[in-house]
Amino acid sequence: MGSSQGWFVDTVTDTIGAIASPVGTGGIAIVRLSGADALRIAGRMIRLKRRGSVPAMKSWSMALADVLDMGSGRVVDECIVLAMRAPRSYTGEDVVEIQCHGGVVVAEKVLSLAFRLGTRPALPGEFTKRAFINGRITLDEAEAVLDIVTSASEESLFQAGRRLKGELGSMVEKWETQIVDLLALLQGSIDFPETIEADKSDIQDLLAGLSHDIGAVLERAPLGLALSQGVEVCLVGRPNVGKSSLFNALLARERAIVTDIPGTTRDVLREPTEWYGLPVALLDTAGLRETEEVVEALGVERAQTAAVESNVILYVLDDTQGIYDEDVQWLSKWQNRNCLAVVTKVDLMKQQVDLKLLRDICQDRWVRASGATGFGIEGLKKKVQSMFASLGDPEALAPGSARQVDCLGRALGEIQRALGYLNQGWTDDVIVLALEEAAGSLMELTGKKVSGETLDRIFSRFCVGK
Amino acid sequence: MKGARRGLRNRGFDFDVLVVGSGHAGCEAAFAAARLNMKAAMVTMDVGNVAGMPCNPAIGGPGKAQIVAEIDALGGEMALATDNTAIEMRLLNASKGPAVQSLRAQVDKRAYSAYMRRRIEASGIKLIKGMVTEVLTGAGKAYGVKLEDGSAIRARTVILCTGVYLESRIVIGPKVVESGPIGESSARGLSASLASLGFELGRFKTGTSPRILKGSIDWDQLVPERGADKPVAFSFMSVPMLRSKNVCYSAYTNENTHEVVRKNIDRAPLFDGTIEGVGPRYCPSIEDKVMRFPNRKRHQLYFEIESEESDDVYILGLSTSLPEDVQYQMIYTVPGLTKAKISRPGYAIEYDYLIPSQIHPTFEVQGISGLFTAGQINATSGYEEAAAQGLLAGVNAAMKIKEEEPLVLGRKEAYIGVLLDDLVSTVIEEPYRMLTSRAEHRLFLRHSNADMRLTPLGRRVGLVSEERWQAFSRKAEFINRGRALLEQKVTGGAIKDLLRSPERHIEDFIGVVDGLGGLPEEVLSEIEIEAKYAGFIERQNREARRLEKHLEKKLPANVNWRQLKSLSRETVDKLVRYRPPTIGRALGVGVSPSDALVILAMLRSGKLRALVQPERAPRGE
Ligand SMILES: Nc1nc2c(ncn2[C@@H]2O[C@H](COP(=O)(O)OP(=O)(O)OP(=O)(O)O)[C@@H](O)[C@H]2O)c(=O)[nH]1
Ligand SMILES: [Mg+2]
Repeated sequence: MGSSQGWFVDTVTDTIGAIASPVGTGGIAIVRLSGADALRIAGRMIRLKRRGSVPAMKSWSMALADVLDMGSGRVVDECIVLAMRAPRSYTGEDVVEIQCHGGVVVAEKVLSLAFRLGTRPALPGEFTKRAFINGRITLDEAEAVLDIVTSASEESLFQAGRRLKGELGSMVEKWETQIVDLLALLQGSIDFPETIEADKSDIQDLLAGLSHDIGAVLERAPLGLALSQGVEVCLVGRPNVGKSSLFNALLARERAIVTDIPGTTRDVLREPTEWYGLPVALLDTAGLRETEEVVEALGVERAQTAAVESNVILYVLDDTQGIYDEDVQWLSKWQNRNCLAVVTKVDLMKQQVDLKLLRDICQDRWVRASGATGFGIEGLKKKVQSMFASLGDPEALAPGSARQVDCLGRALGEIQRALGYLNQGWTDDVIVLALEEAAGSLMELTGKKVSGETLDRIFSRFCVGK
Repeated sequence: MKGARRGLRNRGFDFDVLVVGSGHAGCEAAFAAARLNMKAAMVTMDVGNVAGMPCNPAIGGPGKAQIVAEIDALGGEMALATDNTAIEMRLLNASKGPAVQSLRAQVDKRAYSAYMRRRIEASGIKLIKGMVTEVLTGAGKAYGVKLEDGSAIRARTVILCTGVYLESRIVIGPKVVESGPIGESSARGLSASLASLGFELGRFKTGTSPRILKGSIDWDQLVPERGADKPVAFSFMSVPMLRSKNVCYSAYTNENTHEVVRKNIDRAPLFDGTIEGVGPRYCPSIEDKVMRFPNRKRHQLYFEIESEESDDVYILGLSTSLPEDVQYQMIYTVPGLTKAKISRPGYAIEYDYLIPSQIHPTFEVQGISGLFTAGQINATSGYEEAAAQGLLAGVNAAMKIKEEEPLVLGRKEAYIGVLLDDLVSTVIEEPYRMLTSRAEHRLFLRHSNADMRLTPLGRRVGLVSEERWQAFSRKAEFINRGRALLEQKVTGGAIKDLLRSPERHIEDFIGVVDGLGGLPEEVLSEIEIEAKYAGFIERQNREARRLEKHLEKKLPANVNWRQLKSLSRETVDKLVRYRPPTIGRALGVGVSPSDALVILAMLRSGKLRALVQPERAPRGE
C-alpha cells in the first residue's frame, strides 16, 4: 500500500482558536489559541506592556499586554496573556490564553484578529480532542467534556444558523448561487464537453463583483460583531455631572455607586440591557479630568478608550453648572461619532446649560433628562434606538460572530485566489478547485454540500446527455 | 500463489468463482478471478453477447476514461480491448487541464465483443449458457446457483453481474415487452431470490435511441467530427496511435422535430405513467429535453457507426421511448435523414437493482458470505463503471477464497474508490454515472498517473503480469530520475518550483539540465504535471501530513466503534463499513485526519483493544 500513499508529504499542525470562557457571563472573556503557531500568531497581535514578546515568554508565565489591530494600529483591549508551551499545557501543544477585560464583544474582535493571522476556528470539542491525542487527559475525561460540548455546540450552531437571516442571509444565498452557477458552468463543460460550452468572458467581472461585495460586508463585520452582542453605549462627561445616576436610571436599578464626591466612579462598568428591542451594552465611566491620583488617572484613560470604541457616546452635561470649555472640546472632538449630549439634573431647574450654544455644537443631537426623577429617560432610550432602527435588523446587517466572519473571509480569499488563477492563465480544473472551496466556505453557513449542489445545478440549467 | 488451488481440493464445488452475466462487469470479474488462478466460469443467457454495447459504442469520456486507465493499471482488460478495437479516439477537455483531460473512443462494437470472447476462451474461463433463477445459500453462505432448467452449479463464490436484465421490461410507445435489451430475454426469478434473502431492491429506468441504417443516411448533409490529432491509447501497455478516422458525424434537431414530440407527448410512456422507474438526469430522452427546455431551438445529435461489419448507426442525443411511427416522424425532420430507415427503434428499459448500501466495500453483499454483486445491479450505469466493479469483485472473491486481505480502494486513491464510496455510503437516487465533479481529489486522480497510483496494488494481489510489471518498473525509475532532475536549481530557483507557473514548461529546461532530454516523452509530461499541481495537491492534503509516519499502524479488527463518542458520526460510519486494517487505509476511505489522530491516540493508550467485540452472526441465522 505504501506507494499509493506517497503523497502525504511534510508535517505541520494547524493552530486553532476559540473563546474559551462561557458566553454571556460578562466581565473577563478568554480567547484560547492552541497549535504549533499559537505563540507566533499571538506575538503578531499582542504587545507586552513590559519588555519582550509573546514568543519569548516562559511557559506558564503571565504578562500584561495590549491587543493591537494590525490594520489600524489601534489598541483593541488591554489584556493578560498566559503562555504555555508544549507539552505542558491543556492540549499538550503550545497554548496562548488571552484574558480580555472588555468581555465577549472584545474577545470576538481579538479572535477575529487571530483568524486573520492564520488561526482556524476550533471545532466543538477540538481542544479536548487534542488534549486526548497528545496524552494530556484520558479518554473518559475527554468523553465527559465532549458530551457537554456536543450538546452545547449543537445549540450554538443552531443559533449561528438562525442569525444568518434578513439582508445578510439573502446576500450569502445570492453569492452561493452565483458561485454554484459558475461551478455548474465550468464543471459542467468539463463533464459534458459535447453539450456545455463555457463562455468565460464574464467570469472575471463576476468574480471581481463577488469579491467586492463580500469584502464590503466583511468591512462591516466589527459593527456586526458589536451589534450581535449589544450596541455599546458609553456615558462620559466631567466628574460629578450625574453619569452614574443616569446609568442607574437607564438600567432601572442601583448598579453604580452615586455620591456627591467628584471622582466616585473609577473603573468602566458594563451592563447589558435592551431598549425597545435594541440589545445594548451600557457603559459608565470615570469623570474626565486631569488628575495626579494614579487610580483615577487610569480610570480617565479607560473612559476615553471606552468612549472611542463604543457605538454611541452619551456626553453628560450638568444643568446646574452649564457648558465648560472642556465640554466644548470633547463634544467637538466626538462630533463625527454617534454622539448625543444629555443635559441632566433638569429637575433642579437651574438651566445653566446654554441651549443656543448646545445647538451650535450638536444640532438636534441632545436631550434633557434627570437621573433623579427619571424625566426624559425613555425619550433618551428611544432616541438611541432610532439611530439604529434605520439600519434595519442589526443581526441581518453584518456577520455577527467570529465564525461567520471567518467563513466569509475564507470565501473571499478563495474567490481572490480563483481570480488570480484566471489572470495567471491557469486551466479550468485549478480555477474550479478554488471556487469549490469558496462555495464550501459559504455552505458552512447555509449547511449544504458543494458537489451535490453543483450537479443539481448542472442538470437544471443545461440540457445534457445522450 | 499461495493457497491458489485450495478450492479445487475441496470436493463438491464445480468452480471457485462463478460469474453470472457476460457484460462488462462479468468479463472483468471472470478475468480477474482467472488471473488469480481461480477456476472460473461465466453463466449467460446469450453466449453470443459477450461485452455487448446496448447503448452507444463508445468507451471513456470525463471520469470514465480515468476509470478505464485505473482498470488497466490494476491489470484489467478493458483498456486493451478498447485500444484493439477503437475506430476513432478523441481527447476531450484538452485545454481544461491535464487532470480532467479525458480520452473517449468509438469502438467497433462487434470487434470489441469478439476480442473479449477470444480473451475469455484464452483465459480458461468456462462459458455456460443458462438463466440463473436462484442463488443457493445455506448457513449464511452462497454455494452456487440454480438455473431455469432446474440444474445447479456449485461454486465457492458467486458474482452477480446481471446488468439491466433483472425483471426488465422494454417500453416502446404502447408496446411493453418483458425482455432485456436487443430483444434478449429478461432475467426472471433472481430478483425474488434476492428479496427472499432479505435484500431491498429498487427500480430504475434508462433508455436508448433508435439505430438507423448506414445506407439510408445522406451523409453529405452531416458534419464530420474530427478525432484526436496526436497518437493516443488507453492502456499503459499499448503503443499510442493516431486514430482520427472519421466515423462520427453531427447534426441538430429543429423546431419541426420538437413539434413532433409535443404533438405526440400524450403517447409518451415517460409522461403517461407507463414508466415508473427513475431515470438518469444525465441521459434524458428527447421527449424530456423538449418538454423541460421549451426555449431550446435545437439539440445536438451525433451519429456513430457501430461496426464495420454492421449497418447500424447509433444516434447520440435521441434517446426515446415514443412509438415507432413517432420516431420515424422525428427522424424525417432532420436534414440528411429524410429517407432514413430505422433498423431498431429506441426504447426505455426498466429493471431491478440492489440498493447498494447493502454491499460491503469488497462488493460482497452484507450478510451472505461469498455472494458478490457488480455493475448495473448495484445501481450504476456505464460500461466503465461496471467493468471496474467487476474487476474488484473478481479480485475480492479470489482473495476471500485465498484468505488474503481484500482489495479496497479509497476516494483519494482512485476514481474507482470514489465510485465505491458513493455506492456504499450515500443514497443513490438515479443510475450512478462517474463524473469528474464527484472526485474531490481529481487533480491527483489522473489518467496519466493511474499506473503509478495503482499498478503496485495490482501487483500485490497478483493481477499484474510480469511483462506489465517490468514496463511499470522501468517507467517508475524514469519518473524518479526525472523528479530528481527537477530538484536542480537554475536561475530563479529549483526547476520544480519554476514549473508551478502555468507559463513554464518542461521543454524550456531540456537544454539547461543534463539528462532531462533523455527521458521518454510521457515521463517528461508526467513530471511536469506533478510539479505544476504539487502546490494545489499539498493544499488539499495539508491536514493529513501529520499522520505521515503512522500510515502503517495496524488497527485491531472488530472494534466496536459505535461506543466512541469522541469520533464524528461520519467517521464511525466509515470505520464500521470499511473496517480499515491500518491508519493509512482509514485515511484512504475518508476518515478525517483529526479523527485519525484520535484513533491513533486510542491505539497508543490500549483503549481500542478494550473495544474489540466478537464477530456478528451472518444474515439468516
Ligand atoms: N437632583 C438631582 N441630582 C442629581 C441628578 N443626577 C445626579 N445627581 C447628584 O449629583 C451627584 C453626582 O452624581 P453621580 O451620578 O455620582 O455623578 P457622576 O458623574 O457619576 O460622578 P463621578 O463618578 O464622580 O464622575 C450626586 O450627589 C447625585 O445625587 C439629577 O438628575 N437630579
Ligand atoms: Mg460616577
